[in-house]
Amino acid sequence: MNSGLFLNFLIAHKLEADPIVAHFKMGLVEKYPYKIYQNKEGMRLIISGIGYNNAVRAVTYVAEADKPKSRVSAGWINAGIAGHKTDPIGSLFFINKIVYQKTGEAYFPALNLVNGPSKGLITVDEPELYYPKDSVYDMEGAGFFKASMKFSSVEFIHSIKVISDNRADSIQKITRNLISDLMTKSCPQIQTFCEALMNQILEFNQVASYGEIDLGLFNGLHFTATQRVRFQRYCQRYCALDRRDELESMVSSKWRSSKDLLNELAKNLE
Amino acid sequence: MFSAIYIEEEVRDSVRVQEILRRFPAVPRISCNRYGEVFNRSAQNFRLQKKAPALILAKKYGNLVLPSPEGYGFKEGSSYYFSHMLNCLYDCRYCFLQGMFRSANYVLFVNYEDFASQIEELIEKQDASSIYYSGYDCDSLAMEPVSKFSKFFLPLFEKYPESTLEIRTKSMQIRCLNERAAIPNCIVAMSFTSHESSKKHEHKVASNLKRIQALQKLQGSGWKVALRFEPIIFEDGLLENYRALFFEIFSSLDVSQIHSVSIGEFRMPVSFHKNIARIYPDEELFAREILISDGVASLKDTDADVIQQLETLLFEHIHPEQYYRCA
Repeated sequence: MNSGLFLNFLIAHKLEADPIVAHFKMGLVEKYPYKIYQNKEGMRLIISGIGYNNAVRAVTYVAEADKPKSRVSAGWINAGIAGHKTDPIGSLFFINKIVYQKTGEAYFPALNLVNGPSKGLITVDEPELYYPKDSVYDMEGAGFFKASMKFSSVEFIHSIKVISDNRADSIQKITRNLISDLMTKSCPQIQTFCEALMNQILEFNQVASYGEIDLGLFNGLHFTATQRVRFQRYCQRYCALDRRDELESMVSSKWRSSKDLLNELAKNLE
Repeated sequence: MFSAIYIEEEVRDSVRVQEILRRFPAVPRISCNRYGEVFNRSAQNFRLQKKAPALILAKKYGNLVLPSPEGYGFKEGSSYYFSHMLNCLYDCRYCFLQGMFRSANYVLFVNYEDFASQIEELIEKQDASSIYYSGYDCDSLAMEPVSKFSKFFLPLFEKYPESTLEIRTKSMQIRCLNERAAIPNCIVAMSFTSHESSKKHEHKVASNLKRIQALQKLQGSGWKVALRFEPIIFEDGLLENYRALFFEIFSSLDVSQIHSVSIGEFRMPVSFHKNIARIYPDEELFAREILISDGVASLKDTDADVIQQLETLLFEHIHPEQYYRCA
């Protein structure tokens, strides 16, 4: 992932993914072990396969691959079809709670950006045909959320589900065309949400990188991990104190060692 | 008002919870086992949540009434604090809560009756003249229309006139007080910083003028009021700014009837300071040099001399016996 990519879709099946890929004009960039698509606007989509464990593996795969290259936080959206006992086919819900039926583990996506109906989600290992609770049923949500929380703040992780089956129209009636149609119709709502989420992520990443100076500027100076953190914090403090000119002047001087630079930055702040 | 309401299953059916839920029919309701599932998660961001916090309705267990931190209050002797709520409607940039909690969501502990039992137990078994502070982990009155905090706790303290309740606030929600008879053993302590500091650091808070007007109304209704000037944060013209604020306040109130006045410098545990600097790296206040003593961070530029000069200014208006300095 390059630093310009900051919104990941995790989709279980290609039939659900295709309308999103088309809507957001993504192109295939990787075929194995996962089909991965991305566009120029910083969005990427990975097809995980069905089930809790596949969702965990797919999230981990892309997030781990990004780790060495990117310091920015990414957003995660799990979108797809799901069942509910009574809600009409085509209803779209933002998920406000996810429970993995097998273990009882629960996750709570934030609703601060959500502008639409929300419901709880139960992730099951086998397709649910009776839908006993007033919740949406899927097979990936809990695995997706559990894995994503290791890599991002909870405010950036969301699940959006479109009802494809209920007690009146069972899972057996789902066709390729129905999936394509449901997902295509949901894309405008998904897009609106994505825009709000991407703005939030952008703002967050701007704050996180506030005052940052590229250590590559210091040819020949070695910084330990602790020194890097100290250096960036000093940079932030100079900027927050409206002393960026002083910082830039110090940074552009010649330094014998990173230790000397850090000491001078600290001394000058006293 | 809230992005969502989380409800612990244990309190779901309580009358207090049902009343609160009726006020917000359109806000999504989500059940949880314990509030910590939402509030104490590690992967969350206080700054982002502060933009649209959720309300969590929960039950508090264990010691609900705790001994006050040293130097918190106005009197030697036994004093306690209790928090029926975690987090505050306001967004004061200097507030230690930003560094203490991972979440900016509001937690309202609805088992007031348990708080009351523990308070009564302390009053009856230990020290009838003890002081109880509310507003340490929240603003006591800011969420009054939802929490009905004062409606419940004032009658409790009315039964124990030797004990004292201090309600710490910056809120204009004083109707609940003015609609009933004043209780002599309840003090409404309003916090202030200079106009300049308030404009810069106190977001979503009523202006100093409005707070003064609220205090005037309270005094007019017979309530004891107190003034808390904190946190003092060094700024250009600090002494002049506070001289003006003191004049404005003390010329508006009946000074002889002010219960107490305190000044406190900016201070917080180092770990909280570090957490806040991480979520607000662009904040000037948290970029300043700090002094660390016994694990507590204070501002290097706001030292004891500054506080002493402010005290001198303060004593132009009040009797020294009305004053204490927050440790």
